[in-house]
Amino acid sequence: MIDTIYVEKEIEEHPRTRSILTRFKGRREILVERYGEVFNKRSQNFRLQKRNPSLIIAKKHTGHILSTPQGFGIGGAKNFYFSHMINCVYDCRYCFLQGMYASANYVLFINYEDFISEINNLIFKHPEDKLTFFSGYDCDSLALEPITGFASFIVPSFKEYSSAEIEFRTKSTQIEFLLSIEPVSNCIIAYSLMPEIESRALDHKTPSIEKRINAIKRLAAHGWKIGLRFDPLIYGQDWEKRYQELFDTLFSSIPRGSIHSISYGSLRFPKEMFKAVHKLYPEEKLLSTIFPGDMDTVGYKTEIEDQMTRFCKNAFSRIFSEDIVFKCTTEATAP
Amino acid sequence: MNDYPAIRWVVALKPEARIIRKNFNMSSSTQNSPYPLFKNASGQHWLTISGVGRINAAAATIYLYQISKAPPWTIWINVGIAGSGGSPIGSLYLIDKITDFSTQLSVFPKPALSVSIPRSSLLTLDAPGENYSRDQLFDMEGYSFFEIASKLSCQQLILVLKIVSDGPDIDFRSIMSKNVSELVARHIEVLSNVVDDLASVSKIEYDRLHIPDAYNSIVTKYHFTETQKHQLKKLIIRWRALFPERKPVDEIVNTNNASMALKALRAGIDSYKIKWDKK
Ligand code: SF4
Repeated sequence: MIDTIYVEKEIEEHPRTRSILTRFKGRREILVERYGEVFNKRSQNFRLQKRNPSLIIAKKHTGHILSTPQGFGIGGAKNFYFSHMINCVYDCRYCFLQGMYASANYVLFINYEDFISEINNLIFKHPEDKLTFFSGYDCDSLALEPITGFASFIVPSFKEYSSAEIEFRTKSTQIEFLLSIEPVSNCIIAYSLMPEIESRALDHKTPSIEKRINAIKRLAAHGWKIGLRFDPLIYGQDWEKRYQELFDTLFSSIPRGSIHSISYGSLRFPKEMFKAVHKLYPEEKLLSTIFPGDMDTVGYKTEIEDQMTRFCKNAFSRIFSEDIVFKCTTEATAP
Repeated sequence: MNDYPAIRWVVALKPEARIIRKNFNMSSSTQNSPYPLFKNASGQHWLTISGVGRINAAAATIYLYQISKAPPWTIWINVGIAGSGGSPIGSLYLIDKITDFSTQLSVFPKPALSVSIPRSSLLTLDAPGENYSRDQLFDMEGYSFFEIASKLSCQQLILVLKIVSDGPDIDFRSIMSKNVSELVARHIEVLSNVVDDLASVSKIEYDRLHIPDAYNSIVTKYHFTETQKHQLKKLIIRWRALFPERKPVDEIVNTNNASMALKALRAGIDSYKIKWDKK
């Protein structure tokens, strides 16, 4: 339950701010000049703050849309990402946000129009290229949708952008608004997945894998294109058996034609980020079984990584054409 | 485990201290200290009386930190009386915004507390003020205390609590020492609950940050270089996560020196495969 909402003075009277505030009864509203006053301060503690995060309503001034790191994409010529929020209502133990920010407070940028206008500019600037935009790099793109309404604001615009695609990456089952509108053909709803047992141990506060699969089925039946994301792949005893069971369940219950793309990637952190996350959760088994590699990253040993990616590649190639399967090689694990 | 929980109290006035000292069994600690100092028998609770004003509050907080060797999981609490234009005398508030009157800078305390206490903003003045406003409290220490304590512990373990003692109808000059003690006494049960509540949060920090006992027992067994000590610490942290039921010291019985000990621990960790269904 969010009990405190910090609001930047500049957008105090913005209609979206006012409407969000009415959703939280009994909360305390505190005005701030800039969100940095309450976010990412050095002496804040992500782990302790995660017990009861506050919401910060802010305006994003620059850097609305950024290029993705190398190795992140699903076939577009140019890839961009953006986040209308920083931080997430879920609490996955491998999440890079834990190492990225000192604060677990949620920052919501409410100037949605500026995101759209930058997307417009980029599409205009690259008329020949197929662009892919990833929503929710620093958050889960749908988890707070009933409150933010961001996806419902942005999805309709993509009807007009035939040369571009947008992906909403999520673990959320907040899909009612998607089921209430006509599917948009260049909009992909991408679910992060791993076997249920691993997910129960690592994906805290998220919907179960079973619930996610049910949401996927409903979305597919409604006509939305689905992305399946196995990133990060999680190693452990019987991993092959459990991943195979997960693939079997998914591929037997989702019509092939609904699957837009599949991507997979190994668990990997940049060294400094890993240090921060491990320091925060030293008792976490997962973090004690990955090690510094040769590329300034921390991850599974190469032989494990190879074994897992080979397994996925084979499993997918038996069913899907190569051009919809992507190996993700970026360092930090995206949501 | 005498360094957990670690609670440090900073109060401005003697009568504010009296009830807290009594409740947590603190007695005078040293004779010749710049600020009066008290602690309980286990050394878990320490209290200092800063006197009035920002500079005193900052200096006393630093002094208490140094003299009590406060660890990074320490809970820091500032309790004191405050003026208010609108709240009834005796009301207790958890402060969630403090503005420094002279610079107009603000800080935003938000302790990881589950005990529910009414909240308020606070304005820290340089001198006693009489222009009471309705929407915030006034004191002369809160801002500096929080600013300094934030450098010594994480913000989620720092509390500023204020009890309304004066307002438009009661001049702060007329408040008697006895009244102040009574005001604090009214809330002593809440203060105890707050301490218990935050102690469980600070345990997370203690578990995370304290040097494992296993480190001390191994590091004295052989000669470790500084680099090896660092490696040992890291390995023991991983070991504790993977084999909570196995003592690292038992794993090195067949070793003769530091590098063999490190190798033995590393081998155990390297071969570990998580059983997710047992986690
Ligand atoms: S990994 Fe994704 S879903 Fe999990 S906490 Fe991070 S942003 Fe949220």
